[in-house]
Amino acid sequence: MTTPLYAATVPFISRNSDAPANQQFSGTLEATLRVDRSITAGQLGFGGFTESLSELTLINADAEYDDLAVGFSINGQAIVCSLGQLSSDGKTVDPYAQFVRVALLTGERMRVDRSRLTIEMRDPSMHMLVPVQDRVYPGNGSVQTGNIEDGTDNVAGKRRPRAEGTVFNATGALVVPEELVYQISDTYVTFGAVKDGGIPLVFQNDYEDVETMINNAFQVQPGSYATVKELGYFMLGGPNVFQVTCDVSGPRATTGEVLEWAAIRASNTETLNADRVVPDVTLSQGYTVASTTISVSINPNVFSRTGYDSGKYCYRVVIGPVEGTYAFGLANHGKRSGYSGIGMDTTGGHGNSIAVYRQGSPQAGFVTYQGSLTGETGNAFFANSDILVAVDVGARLFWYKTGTGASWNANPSANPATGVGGFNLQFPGTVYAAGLVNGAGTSVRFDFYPDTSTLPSGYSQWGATPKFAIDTATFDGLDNVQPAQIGYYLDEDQSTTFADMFSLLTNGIGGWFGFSPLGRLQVYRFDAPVTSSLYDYDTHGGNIVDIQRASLPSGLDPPPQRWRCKYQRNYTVMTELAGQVTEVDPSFAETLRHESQVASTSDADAAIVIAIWPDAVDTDPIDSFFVSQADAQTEVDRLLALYSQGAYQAYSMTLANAIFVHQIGDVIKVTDTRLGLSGGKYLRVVSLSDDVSSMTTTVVAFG
Amino acid sequence: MSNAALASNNLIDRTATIVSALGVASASTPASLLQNPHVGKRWRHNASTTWVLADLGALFSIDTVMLAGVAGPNTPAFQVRLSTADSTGAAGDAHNSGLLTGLPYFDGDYEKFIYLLSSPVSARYVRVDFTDASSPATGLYTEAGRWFAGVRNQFTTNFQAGWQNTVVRGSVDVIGVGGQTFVDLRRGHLATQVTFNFVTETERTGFLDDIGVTILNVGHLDMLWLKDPASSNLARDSVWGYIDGDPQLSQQFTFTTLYTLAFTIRQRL
Repeated sequence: MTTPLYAATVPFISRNSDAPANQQFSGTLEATLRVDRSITAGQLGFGGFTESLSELTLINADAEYDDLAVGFSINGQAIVCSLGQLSSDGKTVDPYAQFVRVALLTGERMRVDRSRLTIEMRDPSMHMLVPVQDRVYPGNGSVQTGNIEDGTDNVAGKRRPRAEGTVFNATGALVVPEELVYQISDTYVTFGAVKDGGIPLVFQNDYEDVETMINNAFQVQPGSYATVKELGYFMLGGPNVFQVTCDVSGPRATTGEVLEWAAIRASNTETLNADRVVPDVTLSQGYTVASTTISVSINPNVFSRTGYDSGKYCYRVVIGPVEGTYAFGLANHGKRSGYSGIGMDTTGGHGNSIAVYRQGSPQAGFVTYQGSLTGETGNAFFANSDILVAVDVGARLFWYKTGTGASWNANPSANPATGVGGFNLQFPGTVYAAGLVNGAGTSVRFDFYPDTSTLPSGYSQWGATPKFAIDTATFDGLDNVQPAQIGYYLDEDQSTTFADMFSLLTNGIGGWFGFSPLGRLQVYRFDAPVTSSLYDYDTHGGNIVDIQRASLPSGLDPPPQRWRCKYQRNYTVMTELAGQVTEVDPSFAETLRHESQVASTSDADAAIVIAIWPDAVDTDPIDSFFVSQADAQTEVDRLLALYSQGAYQAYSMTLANAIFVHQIGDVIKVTDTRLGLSGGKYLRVVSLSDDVSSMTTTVVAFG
Repeated sequence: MSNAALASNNLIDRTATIVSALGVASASTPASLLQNPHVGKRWRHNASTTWVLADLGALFSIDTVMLAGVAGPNTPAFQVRLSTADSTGAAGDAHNSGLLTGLPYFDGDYEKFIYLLSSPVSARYVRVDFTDASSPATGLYTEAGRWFAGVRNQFTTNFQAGWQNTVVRGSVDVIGVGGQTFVDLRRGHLATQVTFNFVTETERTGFLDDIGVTILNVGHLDMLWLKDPASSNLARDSVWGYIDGDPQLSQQFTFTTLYTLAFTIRQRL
């Protein structure tokens, strides 16, 4: 049972029109809330993870909260902090609806004593402390039981590998040793090469699933390989001589794209499955819209990330404005995004699905299973149609309607709530939402969180409540400023968490990530401040209470004399190479023998830095994941200009009337008669402390 | 001008007293909050015409009724009825104030309603009706945060000159390097300091001792300080609060049993 607590620094009752209405807010909140955030702990320069930590206290002098001392936990509970105003005469509090929410934090611990109830809070970053590779091999796979993709006992309990971006020379997991079947990534991949001791093997064919590939092993000759690219598997045609490695490309390419995928996965937000989509289909930011720019030869499918074995769920499909080939329905996990459209499963694999297509005269929505019409029909749908689909997984029935006034399944007596008039799901097992989109300019949007007021009684949204919100615009922004391709690989022995992954990838591009006080995950690159700002502060009537020069982080004072970045990560450092490689291409052989390549600023640049800072150090290369030398070089040149030319300094200041106004990375303009600020200077915020007790904000800014 | 008085024995706070109202806005705004020590923790009814009723459980003497934290969007009118047996409180057989509006009974700036009878009456039921005196009204609601009913004790000799009435400023100021003062606005409260130089033996051993015993045994007592019961603005010239610090009573004259009493009444919000 959850017991909400409402407290304010001034007691009041919310208005009848507020939500919550007529709620008593006890005047026990002490003005002690302080939220600290900082990016001053990056690997080199500003960056890394900015964590929001805070604590608030409620007065318990008259024992109001004594009952909470036992059997009450605040761990994981949402703490909402809002700022409101008193009326101009000070007698009434403004409507709660006009309050500004300044922080959405998560409760960690609480302590009750004679004086106060103390609540420790933090941002939702705990939800990122889970492994990126959430699926492990059961190790009980066999062709006979149809689950050979689960691997044999040699990989039991190991994590399925994951390739993001363009990955060079990675070693996959040998999931079926007797058949020489490997998995290189638990996602759709494009194989650039499969190599034995550095020698590329010959591609034979791509198959729908691993079982089909194994059944066709006789066609895969020694020296060649076959793939199941949608699932990231490959199979050798004959025993390897040296170590087998792969060059592959995952569905995502840039740091922003990879991190957005990770953010969505960590937040458990329901979306289209970005790991089960052919390259011809583009998914939008947030993975809710699938679109195609051409007519794809094989009708491409998309699927929800979550499937259900029981229960009643709804999802919504909104057809795009361009007419094309569309279908929606349901599928099992074996259904591929390629090979055949949903409802057209005739290729003999494990895929199974049912779909509704528009056809006939007059046109209607025809239910199609294994390429044949079932005889069930609902309303036709067109461009811009808004379709709600209800599925009773336990009863193996589904319904759809094309708008608020339409009948379910074009049948006035049909009703998901009563179980009447449902279309037969036809196939057994786990059910995923599915759709098909094809044709130039076509698109379809999936809403896995349809308005609950529109759902039939007893039905839930397809998606579970996300653990935190994602500021997708910041991922877009990161892509704009840093569009370089990266290569990131996690093998079967890793347990890297999403938090680790974010740290590594943002450090690699001089960026940072963190949660806003409102609990939205954001990601940025640290750049010099731009020369415009909405926020002007000065010491003469401009809300600066105090200002001082501040120290730069230790890694920047003195700055490095040389900036270096790794690129072309070699995920399998090889000691034994085929003779053909060492003899014909010794340069490539050297690449295979080293962990990465390194881009560096020049000796001439280093000499300039040393002339100013004789004690400037020559640091280790930054652990970047760039694919190309050019992108790595661009990055080191950027860092040199940003940090090693003495152009920028750090300042610490206390601001009034700015509480919860700023975010890390904001640019502010600061003017003072001293410290070189007389003409005004644009600074980028690198550290923030919003303190309600003094209603001031302590800022460290760089520029 | 009338001698100052203290009303400290609050019949509303008796364990046996049951407080009810015509209605409540939500489960978090019950009428029982009129017994809660925090004035800011209020009963609310989303209506402009309503009432609150206290069943004291037995007959008691009453000459003072106060409601603090009275709020609503319009100017209310009040009616105080004291009844001996009618459990609705509407009879008003012990006393019926009739309709009361404005001064000296209510001042919206102080959010306080005070009604003083000239002499105590015996009653079991105390009922205060609120009527929205102005119209049109929007967003109808009535709030009150604290209720007192009981008798007041008037000092035989009034307090001496030199009394202080302080508005305690709660705001926090920060002065910047540029010389500006930044004000973090916070609500203030009242504090009244008085000295009585001629407290009688009867007063010392009577209501003042009652106050002392409560502070001694319970630790705290809220009370109504009436600087001038004949004031033209009772809300302004009174404080609902508590004795801040240690009340000092000392014998100043060896040849008589008269005492000096100095205390500070600090407002409770």
